[in-house]
This record gives sequence, structure tokens and C-alpha cells, in this order.
Amino acid sequence: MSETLQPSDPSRIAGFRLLRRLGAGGMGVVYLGRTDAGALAAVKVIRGESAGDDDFRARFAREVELARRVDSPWVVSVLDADAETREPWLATVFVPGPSVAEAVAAHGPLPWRAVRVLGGLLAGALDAVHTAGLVHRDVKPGNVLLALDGPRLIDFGIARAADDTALTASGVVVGTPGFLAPEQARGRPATSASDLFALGCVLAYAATGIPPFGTGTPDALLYRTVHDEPELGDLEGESRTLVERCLAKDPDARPTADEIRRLLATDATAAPDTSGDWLPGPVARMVAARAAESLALPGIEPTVVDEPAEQAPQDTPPARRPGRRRLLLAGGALLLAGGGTGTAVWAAADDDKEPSGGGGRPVYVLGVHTSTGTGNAAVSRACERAARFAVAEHNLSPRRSYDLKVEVLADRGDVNSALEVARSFTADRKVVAVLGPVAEIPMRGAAAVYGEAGLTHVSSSTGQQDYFVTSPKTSFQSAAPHLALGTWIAVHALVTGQVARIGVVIDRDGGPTVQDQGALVSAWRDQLGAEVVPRVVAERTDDGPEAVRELLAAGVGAFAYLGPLDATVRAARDLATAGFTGPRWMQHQLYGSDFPRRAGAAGEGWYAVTSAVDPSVLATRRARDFTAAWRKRYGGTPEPYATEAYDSVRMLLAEFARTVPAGARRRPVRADLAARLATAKYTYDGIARTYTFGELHQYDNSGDGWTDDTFVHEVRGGRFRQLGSLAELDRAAKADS
Amino acid sequence: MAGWRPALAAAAGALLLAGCTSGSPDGEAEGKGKPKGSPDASASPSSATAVSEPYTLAEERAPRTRAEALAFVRELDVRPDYFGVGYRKREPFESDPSEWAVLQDDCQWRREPLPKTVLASLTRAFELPEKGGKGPVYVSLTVTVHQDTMAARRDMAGALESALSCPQQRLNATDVVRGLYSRVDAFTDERNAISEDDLAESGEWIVDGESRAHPFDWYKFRLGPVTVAATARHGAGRTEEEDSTVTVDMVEGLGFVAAGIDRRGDATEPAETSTGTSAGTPGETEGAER
Repeated sequence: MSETLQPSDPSRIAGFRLLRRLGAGGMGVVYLGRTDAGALAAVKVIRGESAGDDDFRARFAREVELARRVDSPWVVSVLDADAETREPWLATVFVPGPSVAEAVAAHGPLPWRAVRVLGGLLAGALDAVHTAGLVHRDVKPGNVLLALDGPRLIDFGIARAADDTALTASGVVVGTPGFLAPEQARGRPATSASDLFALGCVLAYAATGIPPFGTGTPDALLYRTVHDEPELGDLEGESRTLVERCLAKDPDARPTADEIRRLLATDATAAPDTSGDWLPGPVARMVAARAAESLALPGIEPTVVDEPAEQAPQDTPPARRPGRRRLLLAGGALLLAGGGTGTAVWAAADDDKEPSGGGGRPVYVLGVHTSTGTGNAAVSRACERAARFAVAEHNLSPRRSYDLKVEVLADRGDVNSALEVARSFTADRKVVAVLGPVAEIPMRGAAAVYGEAGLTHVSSSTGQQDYFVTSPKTSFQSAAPHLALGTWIAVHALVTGQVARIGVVIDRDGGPTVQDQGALVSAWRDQLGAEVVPRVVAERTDDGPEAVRELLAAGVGAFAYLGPLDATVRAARDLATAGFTGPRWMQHQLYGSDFPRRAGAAGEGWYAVTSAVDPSVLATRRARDFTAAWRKRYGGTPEPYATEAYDSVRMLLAEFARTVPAGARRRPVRADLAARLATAKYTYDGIARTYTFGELHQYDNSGDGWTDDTFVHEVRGGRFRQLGSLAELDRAAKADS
Repeated sequence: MAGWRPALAAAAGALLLAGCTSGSPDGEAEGKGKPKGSPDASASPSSATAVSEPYTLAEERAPRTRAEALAFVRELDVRPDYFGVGYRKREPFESDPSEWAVLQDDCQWRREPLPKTVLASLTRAFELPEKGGKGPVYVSLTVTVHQDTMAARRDMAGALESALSCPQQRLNATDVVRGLYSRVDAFTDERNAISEDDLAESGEWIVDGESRAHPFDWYKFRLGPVTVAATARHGAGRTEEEDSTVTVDMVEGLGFVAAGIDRRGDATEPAETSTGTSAGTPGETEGAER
């Protein structure tokens, strides 16, 4: 849903303190900010060429002026703007969503009753936009956000022209193909009638779950918009007539916004309340959830000094600003209705803190033990985001008896700082479980501290497996061991028919995990019965290139360079220069690294065999749902190692829940959690794998299932692409033969 | 091709076990680290990772010429009881320090003249005589002074590579070692290394014509530019636990030798003064040795 600010980002724009990045595009960046009064805002800052374009500035200034005059509760309000500054910006009220697109994707089409309300209120919104002299030009399901008291139309007209365009064979169109009107598709200017056409598309989509002109390439969509009749599914009677009128090819044949507004006027559109009654239950819960989640957004918790003498929560929110507070109250009502346990839960809560712990709910902390050590940034970030995601999910559950909070502490990649982090977490009685540490050396120090304190932790990214020696009870590992992953390179070669005489370089600059993966050597020789030429490169010698040369001279037909990123990139270049085209493997920890970019063309075709999954390319429902939810929250597909971290947190939280004494105010006993994970029968079904722990509390790969849980990624087109699991590749190869 | 899965899974499991048990015998872990009175020692009373430093030898305190290196390896005190009660010297006790053992492409060890990167290498032989139905244990200890630390690091890499290249190796005219598994842990890896870089290798050895193999260990530490290695060939008649004790005792003995080398670095005078100033360039020294 958002990302932390980057070092280059400003910390403040005019009266807005910037908290997070909500998104970025060709035109600029959208930030989540807050006013000094505490309201959340979406602040769009124009960067790049547009910012310096006088025409653009003039248009921007004019549209801001017009937008300020738009008077509708269903259009997101402009809070402030500045077209004169070096980087023009525009701030609107922040609405947490979800959008109609997200709601339909998650819960299917809306009942016509809800679509009617939506249509009536959106028509009112468009009427106000048109009355102000604006044309929205990009009405689509993604630009209609849902709140409990009604929809919010966002992103109108301003600062969009150059941004939201579609490149087609015949040129550039402004708007979103599939939702824009035929006249726009033909490249003519958009009018208010064009917005009505788009409204018809939105209503059809909301009612049927499918876009009326289908999906596909922009060109195909535009063609269909101009030439084909819309696909309206099982819409009948009043609803069908209404939508068809909006979707008339002739702009003049379409009704006006005001006409639709009056046509659909009901009690609900006349006096909408904040109950969310107009939405189906699951969608209303999703809306309330988002509102609550926006409170838990990392970084939103203000420093106390920022907020002196905040008015009492019961204060009337500013008119027509569905600010956080109002949404929060609404959400509280909904939670109560849904069977929540508290009394005047949210109203009494201090809503500026993360989870409130209101209603007598205790707040427990999930620690995330990350690392700023070299090479650990990506996995640390993935762990933090996965933890925040899983915890936000917990905090949405109306039946929860406690709230959860995430606390992130990073070590510096060495033992001493890892000990400090572990001591800090173990000393805090509220910390009930920890995700991490993320790297081996911190794990080596911290595991013992966690073990002594009886604090359960799961490391989702370490693969040495002797931590049970110092921490036999509460340390668990949910990642496959490096040793096994090394041997699974041999399995990959076998199932894909790429067994040849292989040269294996073990570059000690890659540390002990690389040496572990050298198990490939014996696997290749003993299990495949194939020839292998190993080379061990001493640390800090720069002997890698010579080892590569020797292996090439030895005439190997396959290659594995197990080393750090720099050395592997260099090996890729050397092999490319030598014209080597046999199969090439890197060590698994380079999956998700900069290798594709750094190695460029020389990196194409390299494989990484790893237990880290890219769920966005899996066809299972769980993987699809997870990917969609992640995308919704963070604006991209789950990054490498995020899925395993998420699974690990969910596993911890699920078992922790079972250790919480029912009803009573007694604290759960820390050690109970580890005892649950350690039972022989324990399994956890994750997004893409089933987790069980061996007797050393390591990820258990002794069964057959690991071939389904081990994925081959190939560098192709400058990035890692998941080819499939070993089991899939095996089946595919057998089907081919 | 149907059988690949179980086979590899089993292999992976075996490797894991090997990784867990052979890397650091418990005794080693206890004797770990050099209690140097680090100022940080009190900072982490509960830590499993004692604040300590590895046994090492700074390059500037290490021998720099062949003569210095020879004196260094000879002066080093290596007593039989370092390796356990009952050990004694074995004849011939010392090897020729101008040669060392090199693993050939055919996986046979042969003694060769020292390369340029090695200044001296001395092997001493010990044995625990047969007693009470427990066969003899042969321990050999080799101290090698390399030209510099980088050369020693390359030697450690080569040691690891040797087991990967040749899981079965012929030690001499009669003995073969096989089923070798090795791993090397740098002190900075925090895996119970006691010197800067610890290699541990285990397998079994068998004498030509005999039907039963017995345990074989190889440990090798690096202290700056110096490597010190010990092998043990266990005799017949011991339980697994007794064999394990032999190994642990042997590694402890290696630790004593390493401690002796480390102390050389603590000495107030640089190593070179102990052999006088007459030693010139390595080339001249080499000539003088012949």
C-alpha cells in the first residue's frame, strides 16, 4: 500500500508532514502526509519535465482553481495546492479505500442495490465536477474509492494529461482503455458526456464483475469500444436500460450526470450514513479494515510533541472530510456489530497510536529482527513488510481478543549488535514472538539469547542448521538449508536434461553459506554419476577469474559459480566473453539480487535454484489472493523472500493465538509457543509450501515435498523469472519425452 | 530416472548430519577461543559466543626467510601428551622440512620439494600404542610457514578443494582414506573456529588387504601465514564414543600447538631477531640451506 520515504524525498511540503510514499509515476510522486491538525492527505508532487513546462503549470493552476470549486461530498476534496513552486503539488484528503476495482476483485460483483447507490452518488459527484467546468476524463473502477458513507471520486482532471495515457498503435490516448468513451478512443477531446460513458462502464463492472468491453491490449479495447456492443452479462430491466443509455456510442444520446443522479435518488443517496449498510457485508468490512489499517500504516504514529492538545475524539470532524477519525468511528461501529468484544471500543481509543488496545484488548508485539549488514537490505525489507502486512490482517479481525503491533530492530550484521537486538526484544515483556534474524552471523549470536529467554523466533532466511546447539528450544528456521539447495542444482540439471561435466567454483568470499552449497559437488558426482571439477577460491585473493579460466580450459560443459554478487557477475562476463553457452548456476542467495542488471547480457540464462517463491506467477488461488493483497498494500508483487517471511509470521501468530489464555487477563507463557511449533505433528500450510520442522527445528526437507517447494528462476530479459518448481519442471520434461 | 528423488534426498540428509556432527566436536567448542582478557568480555555474560579472538600470528611477527621459518617450526614445542595420555613419539619422528605432501591429480599424496610460496614445513609423528584390545592411533602434526598470509589462505582453499576433488585419497603405499567430508570455518563465521580459519575433515582409512576401515580425521588451522594440521588414523577396537574421544583429544592437542604459535606473536621481540640478522633474502637463505 505504501513505502517508506526515500532519502531524496522531502520530509515536509508546505503544511504537510510527509509520512510514506503512496506511489510514483512518470509525472511525479504521491505521498501520504498529514496536516498539523492530524488529517491524512494524499500529496501529489509533479516532477520532471512537466514541472518546468509553463503551459502545464498554467493548466495545472487553472484546474486546481476549478477543483477547489467542486462541491460534492463524493469528490475527494482539495486541501491545498501550489502551482507556482518549482515542483507544483496538490494535496487532497486521503481516503484509504478500497477502490471499486479492489472490492470487486476481492468479493465479486456488487448487488444492484449497492450499484444503484454507487451510481446515484457518483452521478452527483460528476455533476459537481461538470458544474465546476471540469471534465474528469478518467472515471474508472480504480478511481472510485469506497468509504462506509459512500464513494469518493479521486484523481480528477489535474496533473494527469501526460501521466495516464495509453500508447496504442495509432498514437496516444488520455484515459484508460476499456473505460473511456468512443470519442476519446478516436482521439477527440473528452466532454462531460465522455465521463458519463465511463460511469456506465464502472457501473457495469461493479454489477457484473467484468469490464463491458472485456480485457486485452489497449488497441483491442479501443476498437471494441468504438465498434462493439458492451457485454453486460445478466444485467436486466432497469439496471440494463440505465447502463445501456450511458454506453451509447453517440455522446449526445447519453443522459447527463444530473439526470442519472435524480433517476437513482433514494433514501440512501439522500441521506447516507456511516453504517456502511449500502455495501454488502464483506465489502463493508473491507472498507472498515482499510480505514483501520491506514492507522497502522508504519510511520504514521506521530511523535507526541507533534500533537499537543488534540481535540477530543468525539469532536465533529470537518464537514465533508471523511477523515480518519470519522472512518474510524464508523469502523468501530461495524466491528461492534460484527461481534467485537469491546465496549465503546474505538471512540475511546487514542487513534493516533498504532493498534489502540482499546476495549480492554491487550497489545502484543511481534518483533522483527532485521539487519543493516551487507547484502541484507532486501531480505530485511521483505521481512518487515511481510510482518506489517500479516499483523495488519490480524488487527482487522473483528473477533480478535488482542491487538498486535510490529516492532523492527536491525542489527549491523555482526554478533554484538545482534545480541543487543535480541536482548532488547527479550527484555520487553510485550514481545511475544520474533521474525528473524535474517542472516547467519546475527542468528549465531541472537539465537542463544532468544533461547535463554524462552522467546520463540523463526528465521525465514537462514540456512545453516546448527543453531539448536545453543538454542535447543525456541529457535526455528523456515528456510531450506544451503546444503540441500546446493544439491538441488543437480536435481534441476537432471530433470531438465542439462547434466554435463560441470565446473564448480566455491568462492570463499561468499562465506560459509557458499561452502555449504558446495554439496553440489558430491551430489553431481555421487548421485548423478557425472563428472565434476571443483575449484575452491581463497578469500580476499581475487583468484576467481583464474578459476573460471582453468575450468574453461578443462572443457567443462556446465558451470556453477557459488560466490558473492560481484564475483559472480564477473564470472558471468568472463563466461560470456569466452562464448560459453552451457547451463550456468549462481548460488541461491543471489536470487532477487542485482545480478540481472549488473551482469546485463552476460547474465541472461543464469539459473538460481532456491526455495524462495515468486507467488505472482503461481496459479493457485492462495498465491493469487496473496499477490493481489500484497499489490494492494504495497503497490507491487511480493518481492523475493517476502512470501516465506509472511508465512513464518502467520505461523507464529496462529500458534501464538493458541497460547493466549481465554478470557482471563493472564499473560500467555512465552515458551508455550515454541512447544507448539516443536510438536512432531506440527505442519503449517503456507502460500506455496508446507512447513514442518525437523528435530533440530530446521525446515524439514526430508520428505518428497521439497521438489514442489523448490523453484528455478532464470535470468531472462534483465530480471529473474520463475520457470517453475523442480516437480513442475520434471513433469514438463516427462510430458515432452 | 525414477529413483532420483529419494537418492538425492537421502544424500542431502546425510550431508546435513555430517555438517552437524563433524564440524565442531563438543570438546572443541568448550576449549574454544583465546581468553585474551578482552575488555568486552563482561558485556555479554549470557552469550553463547564468548568475546574472544582467534589464535593468530601477525605477518610482521612471522618468519620471513627459510632460515627463520625452519627455526620457527623446529623450536615449536609439540609434546606427545598434547594429544592425550599415553602418546609417544614415533620413528621417524620428523620429516624433511624442505618437502611437503602434495595431493596429485591421481589423488595420491606425494612428498615434493617446497614451492616458492612455502618457507618451511615440518611433520612430527606420534602414536598411541595398542593397549587392551584397542588398536594403535597414529597422529601426525604438520606446521607449515607460508610466504605470506595470502599464500596460507590459498593453502586452506586447496585443502578444502582436495576433499572435493578426491573423496578417496591414497596416503602412502599401504593406506587409503575415503568417504571424506570437509568443511572450513573462518573465525569470523562464528562457528566455533579457534584459529582464523579451521578446517575439519573426516572419513575413514583402510589398509590395503584389510577388510575393515577405521575413522580418519584431519584438522587444519590457519594462524596468519602459518598453517598447522593434524591427522589421526584410528586403530580398531574402539566404540564410537571412544573414537570420538580420540578425535577430541587430538584436536585439543592441535589447539595447544596453535596456542604456542599464537604466543610467538605475543613475544616482545619480532621473530626475526631470534635468528639473528645474517639471514638475507629468501633466495640467499635457500642457497645456504643446501
